[in-house]
Amino acid sequence: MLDIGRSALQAAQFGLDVTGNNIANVNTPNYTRQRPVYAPGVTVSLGGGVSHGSGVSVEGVQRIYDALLGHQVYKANSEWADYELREQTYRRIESVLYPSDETNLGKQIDEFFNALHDLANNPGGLAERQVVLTKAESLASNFRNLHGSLEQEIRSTNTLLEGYRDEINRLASEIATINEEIGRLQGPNYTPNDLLDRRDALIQELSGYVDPTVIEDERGLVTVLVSGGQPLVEGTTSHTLDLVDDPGGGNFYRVTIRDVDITDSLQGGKVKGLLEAGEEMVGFQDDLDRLAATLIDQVNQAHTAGYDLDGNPGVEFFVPVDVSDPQDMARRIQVNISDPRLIAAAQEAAALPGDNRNALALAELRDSKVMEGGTISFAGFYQSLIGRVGSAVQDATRTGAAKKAVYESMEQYKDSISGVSLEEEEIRLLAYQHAYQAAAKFMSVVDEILDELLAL
Amino acid sequence: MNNLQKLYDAQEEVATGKKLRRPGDDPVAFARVTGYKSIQDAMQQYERNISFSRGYLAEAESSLKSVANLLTRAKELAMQGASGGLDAETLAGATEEVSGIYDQVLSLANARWSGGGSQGTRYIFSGFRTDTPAFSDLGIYQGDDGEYAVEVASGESITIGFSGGRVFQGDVDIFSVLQDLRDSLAAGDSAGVQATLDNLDGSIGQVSQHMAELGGRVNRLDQTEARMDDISLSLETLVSGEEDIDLIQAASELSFYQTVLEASVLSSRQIFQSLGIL
Repeated sequence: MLDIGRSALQAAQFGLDVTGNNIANVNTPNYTRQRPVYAPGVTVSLGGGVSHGSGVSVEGVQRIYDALLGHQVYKANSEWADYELREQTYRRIESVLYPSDETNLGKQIDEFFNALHDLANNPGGLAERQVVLTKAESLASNFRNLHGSLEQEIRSTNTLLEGYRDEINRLASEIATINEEIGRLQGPNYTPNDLLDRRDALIQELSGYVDPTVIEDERGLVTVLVSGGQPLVEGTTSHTLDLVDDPGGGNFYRVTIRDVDITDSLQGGKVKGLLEAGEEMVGFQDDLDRLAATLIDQVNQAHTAGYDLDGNPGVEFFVPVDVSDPQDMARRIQVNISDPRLIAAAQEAAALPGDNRNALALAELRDSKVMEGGTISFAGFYQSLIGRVGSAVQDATRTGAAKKAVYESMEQYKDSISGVSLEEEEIRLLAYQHAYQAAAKFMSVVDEILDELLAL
Repeated sequence: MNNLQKLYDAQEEVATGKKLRRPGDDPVAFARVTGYKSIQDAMQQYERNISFSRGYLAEAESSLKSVANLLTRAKELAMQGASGGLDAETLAGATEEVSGIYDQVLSLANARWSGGGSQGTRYIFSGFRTDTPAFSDLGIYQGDDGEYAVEVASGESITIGFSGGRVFQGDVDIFSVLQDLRDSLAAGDSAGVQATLDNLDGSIGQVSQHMAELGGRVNRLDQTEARMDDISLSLETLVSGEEDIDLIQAASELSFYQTVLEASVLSSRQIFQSLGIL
């Protein structure tokens, strides 16, 4: 009987300890609430077919954690992190490529052609010629700046990837270390809940970078797979995520684990977001290059067909380049003329200074459909480029907001299950307190009975 | 947190007066609006081109009008002289007058115009050779046959310039005719004077014809300008429709999100109070 009483007291005491621990950790991030696990003591036989229980035994502490839910939270976080990064990157590009109504590239193209019209009205005038040169210089300079800004973004992609790689590897190694500790400490009567919470936090952090899938084995150790099944952590061993130069000659690193290229099968995380955004940026830069190349080619062709103010054949307006390969044209575009007299406004050398026919031909390039296989004008092409940038922003923003909502609702649900609710713990305190008092009362009754027995 | 973002957006809308501020706000609409604005830029330039051309045509018209009047006077003198029997004094006076008419017509043919640009004054009737007088003292054309054009709408050019060779020496060489008239009068050759009458008619007709042509060009400019004004107005409306906020709606949205934010702050405070934190 004393044993029964003792076990009751111990059980109640244990319940109070666990509850007290929960209350103490109400504000601890990532803390999973715990419950004592009781089991009835073994049934003993008194002989003669009579038996009764032998009290209560404390089996251990249960961590109120839903692994499936935990996994959904990782996934939601990883997908959100991907789109959040894309949104941030695209918004930067958006303001680079369209800084304002007044200074954007399309506007400067328009102003260049307007200056050519003013020239056509005053072919003999030096001021109008100078304005053409000034506007052309602004335009070329803008092209170069835009190319440079995009180039910077593209290069920084690889730098950022290196930082992510270091973080990922740090996390992987910490998870492996915790796995080892958990393996040592975990036993039939003991679960290292604080370590489990910490491991959960690490995996959650990892999900911001890649797309972890977690498989737990019977010892409580986990294998963390990424990118559709490639192991990053296997129990106590962590592997390294590496970045290698693209053997295909692309701009960005390829992501590998133990020489397996996992880049294209990533499902979420910042690494994926960064690479996707990077590829888009390369596309935008290519578009800029093509625009510059066609502009240089068309203007030069028209310009060299005319005559300047002194009756000489027009030289190339822009520094001549090989436009069959548009690569880097936006960086290389440069005005070839500094003397306004050299602008070839005339169509015939003898018809000076009033011959404006070549200036008109140049001005009329504004509306000629010379881009995209002859379907769209310079300004039209720029507008469609802006449209693509805008779509990228809008898409990333909307998808990101949706993903974020999913993540937040998953987090909230998980919190409602695993988080500490003070009201509930207070109620349980009362319960265990009563149980303790009842057990103590039982002990004192047993004590009285024994006293009487001994007094016989 | 979402509500805070919406509040910021609403504030930005009211502050800028625009609901379409960046390509990402609505990419399709933004590209469209950018296209409209590009057309507006072009149309401003076309407007300048038209305005410039009006200046030229006004000068040319004024010149030609005066030439027409002078030729009419010359014809009067020719008719007098053709009838014969003028006394020497009248003949001398007529000769001198025709000589003066010749000089004035020459001067009008060599009229100049500042153009409003930095090119400086240019001869109106010299074709492309705008820094050379159109005609020498002897009535030899020194310009070329260039007639400059301007673009007044997308893909639409109008020829504006008149070549002096065409206007003054096209079918009839006006200077020749005036010289003939002067010389015949000086010699008292009434038959010779008679012979110039047809050519004088031809000259007057030629100038009228070119004046009509000039009028036609002015009309075309007027029509183009009127059309552009309409398009311009439509574009303004389109741009504004896509870009501008409805101020009343935006203000009420702003106030709504402010209220939502205040409510959530208030309810958070109540929660904290009930937990005994506040």
